[in-house]
Amino acid sequence: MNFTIILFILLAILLLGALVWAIRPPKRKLVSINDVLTALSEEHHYSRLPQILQALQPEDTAFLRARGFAALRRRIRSERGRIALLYLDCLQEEYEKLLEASRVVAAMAPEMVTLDEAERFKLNLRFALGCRYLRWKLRLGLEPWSGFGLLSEMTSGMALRLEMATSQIGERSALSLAFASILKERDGGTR
Amino acid sequence: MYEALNLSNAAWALTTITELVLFVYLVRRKLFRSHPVFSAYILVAILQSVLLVATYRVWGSRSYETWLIAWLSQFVVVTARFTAVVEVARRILSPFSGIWALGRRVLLLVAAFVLAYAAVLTRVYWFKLALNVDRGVELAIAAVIVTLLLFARYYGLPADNLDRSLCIGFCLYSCFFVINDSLFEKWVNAYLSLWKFLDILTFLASLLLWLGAARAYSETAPARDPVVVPKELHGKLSSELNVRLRLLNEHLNQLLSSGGQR
Repeated sequence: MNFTIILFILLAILLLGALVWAIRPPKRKLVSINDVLTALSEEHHYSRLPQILQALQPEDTAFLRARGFAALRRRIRSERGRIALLYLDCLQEEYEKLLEASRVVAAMAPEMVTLDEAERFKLNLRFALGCRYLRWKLRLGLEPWSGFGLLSEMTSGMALRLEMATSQIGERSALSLAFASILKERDGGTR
Repeated sequence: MYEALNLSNAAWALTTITELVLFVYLVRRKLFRSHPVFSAYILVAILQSVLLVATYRVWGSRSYETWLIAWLSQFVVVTARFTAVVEVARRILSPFSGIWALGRRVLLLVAAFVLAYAAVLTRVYWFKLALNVDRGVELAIAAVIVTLLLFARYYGLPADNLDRSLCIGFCLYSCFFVINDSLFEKWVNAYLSLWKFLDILTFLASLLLWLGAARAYSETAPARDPVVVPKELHGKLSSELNVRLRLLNEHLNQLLSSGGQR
């Protein structure tokens, strides 16, 4: 049997597999417009990042080894790794919520920006891969957690970005009002 | 050989009867109004069966005339099938104008890409042109349906049971057709009767699936009146969501680089 035939058969089998996957009932719960607005206005986990980064810094616990508390240091490092994992869970949860919100918004869009959707797809892929990689790294307790000289630089960079995001998010109240009026209009129309 | 032919003829007759029953259901339940192209496709499939029976009787099963009529009628049926798939895609996506605008481009691209891919793969076999075109189109149909279902799943779009069953039936048939065609290409003559039999059997399975969905079809289908927000508002929300997603990615990057620095 030649390569072309095998390729066609494999493609068809692949499509059958994708079909089975695509028709499974969705696990995620579909969110409403209100949930979108809540997701946008919820408290974020941004503010805890410096502490988490600080906790992962090896210099933070180096003095314990110097004073002969190597076992205690190991225990603290593993505890901090566990906390970082929990932080990662929260980050992922927030990410998924925002992604779900973006899908709800897309379903209400009169016209979609392909670039926005493509960027979202790219971000999603990067986040999913990065998250998995980091999770394994934390689980395996890969040490040393060094190179935190850049910490302050990173944090200030993040602060700048946060400021930029906050200014955009500042329009939220106006958006909420617009949304509420649309919903009200629609409810009035259907009754 | 004769047993295989008899079995194949019986399956063919059964398929035509099932097509007729399905068509009656589509008419009686007035589903031809909501699914005009699909109804037309079933009618075309019935007419193809009648035409092929007549052709076989007049020219026999191995004549050039029969070969030509069979492939020409197949071309019409495949075109009708593709159009019926487009109809289902429109029914699922078009209530959401933004998603439909993006979705139809993506589906068109997928179809064009798969057709081009199939053409490139089979360019050395021009003597089996009809078979290759048929297989390419079937592969494109399957790819379009899978993309459509993935799209609908990603955005959480509602689809009634009939549309879902149509998608599953079309995709199953197309995939099995591609596998069948590929095997048939290798063992053209030795495999002919079995090929015909399997082809009919797969189509019969799809027909039974559609028949079940048409019977169970309820007029009280899921509501299709989605909220539509103004373009500017959507633009703002969409970019805000992207900024937030980008920020979370930045967070992750910082964690990653902190873990990676040694």
